Amino acid sequence: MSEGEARRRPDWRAWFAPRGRRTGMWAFVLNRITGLLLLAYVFVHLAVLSVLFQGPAGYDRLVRWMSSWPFLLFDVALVAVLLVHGLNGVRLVFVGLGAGSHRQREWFWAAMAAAAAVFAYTTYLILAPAWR
Amino acid sequence: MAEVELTVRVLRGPARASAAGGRYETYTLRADAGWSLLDVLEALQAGPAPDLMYRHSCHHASCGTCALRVDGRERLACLTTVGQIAAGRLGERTGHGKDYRLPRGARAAVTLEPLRSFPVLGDLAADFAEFFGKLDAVEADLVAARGEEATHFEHCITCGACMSACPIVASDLEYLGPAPLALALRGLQDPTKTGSDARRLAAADQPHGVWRCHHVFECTAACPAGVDPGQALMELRARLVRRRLGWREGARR
Ligand code: SF4
Ligand code: FES
Repeated sequence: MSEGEARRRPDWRAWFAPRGRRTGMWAFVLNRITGLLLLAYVFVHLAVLSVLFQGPAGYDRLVRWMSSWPFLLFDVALVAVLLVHGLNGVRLVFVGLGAGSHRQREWFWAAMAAAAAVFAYTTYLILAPAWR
Repeated sequence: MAEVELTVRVLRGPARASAAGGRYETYTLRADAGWSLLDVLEALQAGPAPDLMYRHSCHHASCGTCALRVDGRERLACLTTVGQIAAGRLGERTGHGKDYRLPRGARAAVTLEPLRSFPVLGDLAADFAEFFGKLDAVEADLVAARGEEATHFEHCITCGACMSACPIVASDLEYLGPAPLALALRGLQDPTKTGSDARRLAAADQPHGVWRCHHVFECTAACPAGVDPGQALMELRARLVRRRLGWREGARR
């Protein structure tokens, strides 16, 4: 840059600005959000597991929590976040290897369709026992 | 052609580090559906906004100076028509030569902003100095070879649309960006062997080079010239990986 010109600054808002954008950008935004959620979840996970330090009583409490409705619903949401992030990640591995960058849009929808199918099945597995 | 009552919101302001920080001015004018956005800007300059700043030269998608954001999308002003805006067809490369069958007394509104991730010289005029510096870093100046089969990578008119569309260019100031990396690949493929391949490879194979891309592919979607910089980036990556593994042309460094 020549002298006297204003120097631009990093603009992170662009990461979450899908106005006027297309599938690739929405996939990117979705991956940032689910990534941050998973990062937050790691801490929740460790905090919850820390009750095991309280010995057998803690273990019993943990199992009771884990089979409660709020926890099961949390698990269902967690599966959704994991599937979206993970399967989109698989898409990015292929696209990043140069395989099908032309089809990145179709790959995204394929990944999301797979995510939806697996999500439906796991939701059934998680919630069905609780219905009975 | 039908006349359209066009309301134009223009992000205006003096020279500054980025498009942010300007203010929106609204103008209303009657525009022919066949007008390009450059015609609209000229009409504004001849009327209510004589000091309006914007860039243009060729009027036919060759010089790459007129790119700006139209309702948040990077577009060449010379390729975008009033009819296209009124019909809501900004996804199409151009509105020229098309009849959108607009009703009588059609109205439309559009927001014009300078390219993102470029310093602004004033109003809609982006400052290309930084971008051109990145093109120089990959020795983007090419010489056409006789009899050479054309690829789409040399169609780049260095309009900056892809740079504006890329969220990573926005957050990483050093990131070379889609067009320079596409032209780095094109340079490596160049049969005339113009320029330094070592320099191109060094520019591409560093943290702010090809590895910074996060596969958003807005560059390819935004490109008015069909260059497909996203694919170029992926090809360049594959080439660099092969080179690291020593798979081709005795490439160990
Ligand atoms: S690659 Fe396309 S969008 Fe990017 S500068 Fe070149 S012509 Fe413009
Ligand atoms: S004026 Fe030259 S590309 Fe639009």
